[in-house]
Order: sequence, then C-alpha cells, then structure tokens
Amino acid sequence: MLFRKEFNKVVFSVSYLIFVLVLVLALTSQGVMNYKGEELEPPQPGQNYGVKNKEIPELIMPVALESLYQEFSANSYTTYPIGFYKNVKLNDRKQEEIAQILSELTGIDKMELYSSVNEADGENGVSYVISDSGEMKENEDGSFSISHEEPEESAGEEELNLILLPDISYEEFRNAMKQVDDILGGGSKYEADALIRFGTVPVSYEEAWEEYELVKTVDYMTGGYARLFSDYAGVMVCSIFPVFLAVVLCMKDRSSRMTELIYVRTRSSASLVFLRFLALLCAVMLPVIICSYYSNWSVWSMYPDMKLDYLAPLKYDIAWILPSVMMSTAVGMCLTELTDTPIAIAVQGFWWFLDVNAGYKTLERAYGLFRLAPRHNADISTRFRTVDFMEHMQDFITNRLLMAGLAILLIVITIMLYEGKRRGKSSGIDKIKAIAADVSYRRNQSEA
Amino acid sequence: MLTPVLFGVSGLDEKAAAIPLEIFLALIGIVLLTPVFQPEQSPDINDLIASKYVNILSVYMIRILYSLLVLFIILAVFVCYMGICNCEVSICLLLGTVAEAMFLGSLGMLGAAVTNHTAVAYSFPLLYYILNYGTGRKLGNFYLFSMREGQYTTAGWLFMTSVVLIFLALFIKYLQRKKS
Repeated sequence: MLFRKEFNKVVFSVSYLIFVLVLVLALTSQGVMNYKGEELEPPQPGQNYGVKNKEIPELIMPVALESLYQEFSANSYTTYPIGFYKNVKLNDRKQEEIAQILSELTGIDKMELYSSVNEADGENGVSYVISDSGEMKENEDGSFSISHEEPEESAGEEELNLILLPDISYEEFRNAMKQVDDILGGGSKYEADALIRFGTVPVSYEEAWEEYELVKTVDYMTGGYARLFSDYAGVMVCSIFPVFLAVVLCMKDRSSRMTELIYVRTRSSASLVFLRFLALLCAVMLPVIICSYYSNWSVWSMYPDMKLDYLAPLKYDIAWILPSVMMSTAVGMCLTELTDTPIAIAVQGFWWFLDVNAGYKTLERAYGLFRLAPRHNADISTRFRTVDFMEHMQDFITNRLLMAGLAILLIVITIMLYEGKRRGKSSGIDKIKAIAADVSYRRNQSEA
Repeated sequence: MLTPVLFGVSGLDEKAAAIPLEIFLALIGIVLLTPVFQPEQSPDINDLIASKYVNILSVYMIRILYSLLVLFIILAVFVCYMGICNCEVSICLLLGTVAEAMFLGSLGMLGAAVTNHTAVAYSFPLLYYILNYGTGRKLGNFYLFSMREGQYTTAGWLFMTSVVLIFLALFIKYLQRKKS
C-alpha cells in the first residue's frame, strides 16, 4: 500500500515526465534506440576487419618515437594525469630533457634536435605561407619581407632522420618512455601500459571470425546490442538523473508540510525509507527496461535463423544499469535527509562529471572499482569486443557489487537519520543552525 | 577552484585554453542563474511578496543582473589567472565562456519558470550539456564546445538565445502571477 502510494507520487510528477523525456531523447541521440540496418555480418575473406592493439616492439617503437618528436616540436603534450584531458607545455629545461632522451634513442645531437624545432618556426618563431610560391617572414626590426621563391623546407626537418638506434632494446625504450612520462607529470601515452596503443595491427580474417563466433555463442547476438545500450544509458542518464527524482520526492514532505504528520505514524523509519527507495528504483527502471527492450527488439528480426538471448536486455538492465541507479538514488535520499536541501544534485552532479571526464582516456572500456558508470563502447564495427568484456568481467562484477553495496549502506544511514529526526534529534542543516544560534546566544549572554 | 587541479591551466594555447573554460567553468551559469525564482517558490513567501507594492519582475531583473555580474567577475578573474599562467587567453575567449554560461543558466531559469521547482530545473541545462558530449557538432550554432576548435561564432548565437530565454522565463512568471 505504502509502496504504491510512493510509486504513484513519483510517476505522477513533472520531474518523472522530464526524466522519461530525457531518457528517450538522450538514447535516441546516440542511435541506440533502434538498431535497424546494423546487422553483424559474418566476416568475409578480403574485408577490412578493423584494427587491434598488439605489443610488437618493432611496430611500437618507431611510432611512439615519431609521436614524441611531433609533440616535442610543437611543445604540446597530451596527458591524462588524473583521467582528465590535460595539455602540457614544458619549460626550456624540461624540453631539453626530452631532447636528451630523443638524442639517446636516435643518436642525433641534442642541440641539433632542440634548435631544429626553433629554426623550423622561423627567426621570430613565426613564418607565413601566403601563396604556393610565396612566403612572408617577420624580420628582426619588425618589418616583413615577402619571398616569391619556393619556400625552403626547414633545414632541420630535411636533415633530421628520426630512426631508432639499432642497439636500443625494447626494455631500454620503455624505460626512456617512462622518463618522458615522468617529465610530463604522468598519464601520457608514453607510460608503460599505454605504449601498446602505438601497436595497431589489422585484425586478421581468422581473428575476426573468432570474435564473430564469440558474439554468437556468448552474446547470442542480442547481448552485444544490449551492452551498447547499457553503456550509453548508464553514463548519460541513469547515473545522474535519478538523483533529481530522489531529491524531489524526499523534499515533497517538507514542502507539503506533511513531515510532522508522517513522523507520528506508527510505520517504522526503515520501512518508510526502504519502500520509498524501492519505489524510486522501480519508477526509474520501468522506462529503462521498456526502452532497452524496444531497442533490442529491433535486432530480433535481423537474425531469424539464430539462437537469440531474449533476456539479454533485462540482464544488462539489472546487472549494469541498476547499481548506478541505486547509487544515484541513495545519494539523493541520504543527502536530502541530512541537509533538507537539494545539495545532493550538486554532489551527484560533481561525481558524475568526474566519472564522465575521467573516462575520456579510456572511452572504449573502463571498469575501475569506483566507476559510477562502467564503459564498454563497442558496436558491430568491432564485433562488440566481447573478448574484452569477458576479460574484464571480474572487474565489472566487483564494481557493480560495490556500487550496489554502497547504495544499501547509504540507505541504512538515511534510515538512521530519519529515525533521529522522528525522535527530535536535529541533523544536518538544522543542527548547524542550532549550533550557530547557541554560539550567538552564549556570546550575547557573555557580553551582557 | 578545482579546475586548475583537474585540467592544468599552464602554458595552454588558445584552443587548449578553451577546454577547461567550456567544460567546467561555464557550468557556473547553471549555479547562478537557475535559482533566481527560488525564494518565491515557497507559497508563504510568494503570498508575502504578492502583497507588496514593488513589482516582482523588477526584483527578478535585479537578481538576474547581479547574478550576471558575479558570473562575469568570476570568469574574468579565472581568465586573468590563466593569463598569468602563460595561457593564450583573449577577450573573445572570456566573452564566449560568458555566453555559454548564460545559455546554460537561462535554460535552467526557463525550466524553473515552467516547472516552478528549482531542483527539477537543474535537469534542463544538464541534459543539454550531456547532449553536447554525444551529438555535439549536430547542434550546429548551439554547440557548447566550439571554442576549442577555434570557432567563436556560436558564442553570438548562445548569447542571443540566452537573452531570449531569460525574457521568456520572466514572461512566464508574469503570466503565472497574473493568473494567480
């Protein structure tokens, strides 16, 4: 009875309508509400099957070296030290250190490397090409001169032959790249476990066929689509927007002036809070499940002769999306009960913001322990990277269980806060106000 | 305040300098502009205000103006700080960020005017912000993260639209008050 009342309060509210609209709009914008035309075809010989990363030293070393030299030339290094994108510009001393490392790897003199970058930019660091045969340069006195000769290529670029010395082993190269990473402050593409990204090789026909077979036998075709849906639904909507519903519902008692009336009821705080939590979860998951099935249904007709997993959307909704919804809802309920303000929106928004941007470097997959929304952004072009998902299944399960467990813990705390309020013990903002009033009173008394 | 820690704001060129401003600093518009109508959402305060001679719209305008002033000051101070940290900042970058912040804030204001609930109103600019991550360039002149690509024309569109949305929100509040 109470569950139905709380459920009705949620679903028959403007905020719920907005949530449903947000869900549909966000998922439609990402193209995961309808997979028509996105059929996974069996690989055929002679096709392009995409690329994959492989640790092949002969491949990685020259590409990484070239990348480092490009960034060194521009003095602009891309890093992700704490998961966020960061552009690093080095001072002269650190640029010389990078030049020293490049020199040790290529045998080219450090000063030649360092000065070639400055020469290529012209005497004042700037040169302009104004036509195919014209070049304008700023002279020392500030005037400009235009040359109609073929612009000479930088002497430095022409002479520089950036080839790795043959006696540099892969281990030595990795150590050198680690030094580069340390100079850049960490999180660069030259750190040890990121170097593999320079080793892109085409996927072979046999490997593509293996991946296709995995999609058939593990995902039963529908699982991959359901996983992609969950990836977008989790990160775009379900890890942030449920907090709005939780805050609105929890503040409704106070705004309707029903708080004291509810406090005197015989129903226990645990029952009240838990049923409210359950009502919120059901209200949020209902449109999510409907949308996931609507999305997956578009796949069923594409594979008429294959065994499909019709429960795949439900499995991913419960295992992937539900823990994020639980955490978002629990944060909303706990902080609203604690402070009687909508501060939970700011807190959850900040966490979501960090979570989304921290995954910038690892957009393709992220199963960190405290990830609010795990990522596995893979479609038919990569055959859903089922292998990667299976390899990280343990991390994924650990993350989801942790999120669900923390959410339950927050709900227990909410129950305790609610019980305290019912017994007349103030908390949160009321407690702070009471303390401030007490301090002010004592000061006035002492002054008197 | 966390922006220098999270993103790093030293020695950035103009395009790189736009990134922390667009991604993070512009969100301050949501914080400053969305709660403009909040005090009157309490029925008691609304009744009290309604009994006063002062036109409530002028009160809203004052709140909007000082919120915009604070917004501008905060962004200007941060841009100056970036300049001190050897970033290639410019007036265009500052005004573009102000326009983006105003746009997001005006979306929240409109949401608050329509729903009469500040907490729910925060979801409007948040949704738009999220859409920019995914669909981005499809939003054309209303793409929030265009300055990182050297495009500043969208700032004009965002500014003009934000002004329209602010006045629309005020008009909706006027109609609500007239109806009550």
